[in-house]
Amino acid sequence: MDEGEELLARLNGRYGSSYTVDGRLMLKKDKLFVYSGPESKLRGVWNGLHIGCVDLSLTIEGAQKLGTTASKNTVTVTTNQARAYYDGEDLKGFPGEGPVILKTKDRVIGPGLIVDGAIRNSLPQSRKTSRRGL
Amino acid sequence: MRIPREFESYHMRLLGGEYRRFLDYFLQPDERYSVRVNTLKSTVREVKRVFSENAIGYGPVEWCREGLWVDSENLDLMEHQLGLYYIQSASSMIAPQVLGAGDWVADLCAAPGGKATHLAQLMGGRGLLVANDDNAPRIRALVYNIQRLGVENALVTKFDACRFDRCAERFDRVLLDAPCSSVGTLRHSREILSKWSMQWVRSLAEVQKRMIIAAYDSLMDGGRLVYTTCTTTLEENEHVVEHLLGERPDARLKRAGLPGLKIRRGLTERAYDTGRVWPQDTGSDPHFVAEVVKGG
Repeated sequence: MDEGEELLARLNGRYGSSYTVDGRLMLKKDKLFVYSGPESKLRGVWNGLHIGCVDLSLTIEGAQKLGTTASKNTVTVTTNQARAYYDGEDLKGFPGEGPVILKTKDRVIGPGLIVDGAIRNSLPQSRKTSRRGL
Repeated sequence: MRIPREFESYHMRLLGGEYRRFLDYFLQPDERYSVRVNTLKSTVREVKRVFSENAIGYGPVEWCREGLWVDSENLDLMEHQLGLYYIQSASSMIAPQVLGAGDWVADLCAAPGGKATHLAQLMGGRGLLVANDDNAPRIRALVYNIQRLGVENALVTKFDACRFDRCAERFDRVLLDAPCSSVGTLRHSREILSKWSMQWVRSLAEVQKRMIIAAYDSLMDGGRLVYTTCTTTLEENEHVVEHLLGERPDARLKRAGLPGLKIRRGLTERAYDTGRVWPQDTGSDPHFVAEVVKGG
């Protein structure tokens, strides 16, 4: 098992998920990527999809991948709470500790981090909604 | 909107009696916008439901199964950030569909990634998609969109598109959405008018001619190139394609088009099989598209 596979196994363990990749796992510094294309002679500045990190946090895409089969460390929120989270707010009143996957009844919405009874917003600034026309 | 005299006289010559209708499109405020459903993460049905829940009216884009016209500009919903759809001009949905899926696909001027991510969904996450751009801030936007839309088979590169033929791979599909005078974006950005001059158009055309040769030379035999711009001038469209046909005798022009799309033929005899999309026909931004096959 290489470092990438090992990290994916730890992530699946954390979230009780059974995500398997259709492609290659690549660990670059502390970031885990999945790449489904063929080998190329070209050198790129970005390759594949970033799904998670060595601290067991997930990107939105990683949460979407693992979240469909996750059975632990998941938190279900209402659609209004999910929208508030995407507006950049923290969500109060949630027990637990550490990284979690957030879901609504319809879909996986991304990663979160529970600290002191609140889901701290873990979305990058660029992935928060702007509440204006683009 | 103050129209420069040079712009006006050029487009009056190009469009004749249709010039006023053409201009009217740009003078009117935007009333409809468009999005492309990202089938790597969602379905048309799901995105329609999201829009209904948010009181956004929608209808089909006639030439793209995954395209939706919408009646709101407030489209940066949570589901947008989740990557369920991409906010995009309906005209921009044309070129990736004309090119279609391949095994080794390159988009030479890919940022911010609308057409590259469209190609990715046509490829269904299989094969190699090289998304190239040479501008660092624009590459950041490209990476953001590739990530947001969940594309797993993309390799983002930073080559000068004019020298792309020197890269170590050959492709069966190449998209060249060349930097242009962008008359098609006039409705959204009036800035173009202050820059517009024939001198500027000619300098862009020189770069486009170098790019189209490099794009063509990066094809494997039998491969297909789609050249597209969002502008109107002959110099940046038909003349660039004619330059390629003159420089590469094995290049063969195919008739460009899509079901459901009203497209007019190119404005010169040699580039007749290229396609022009006009706002007075489609209600969408002007576009030019040419499909070229290598050899065969």
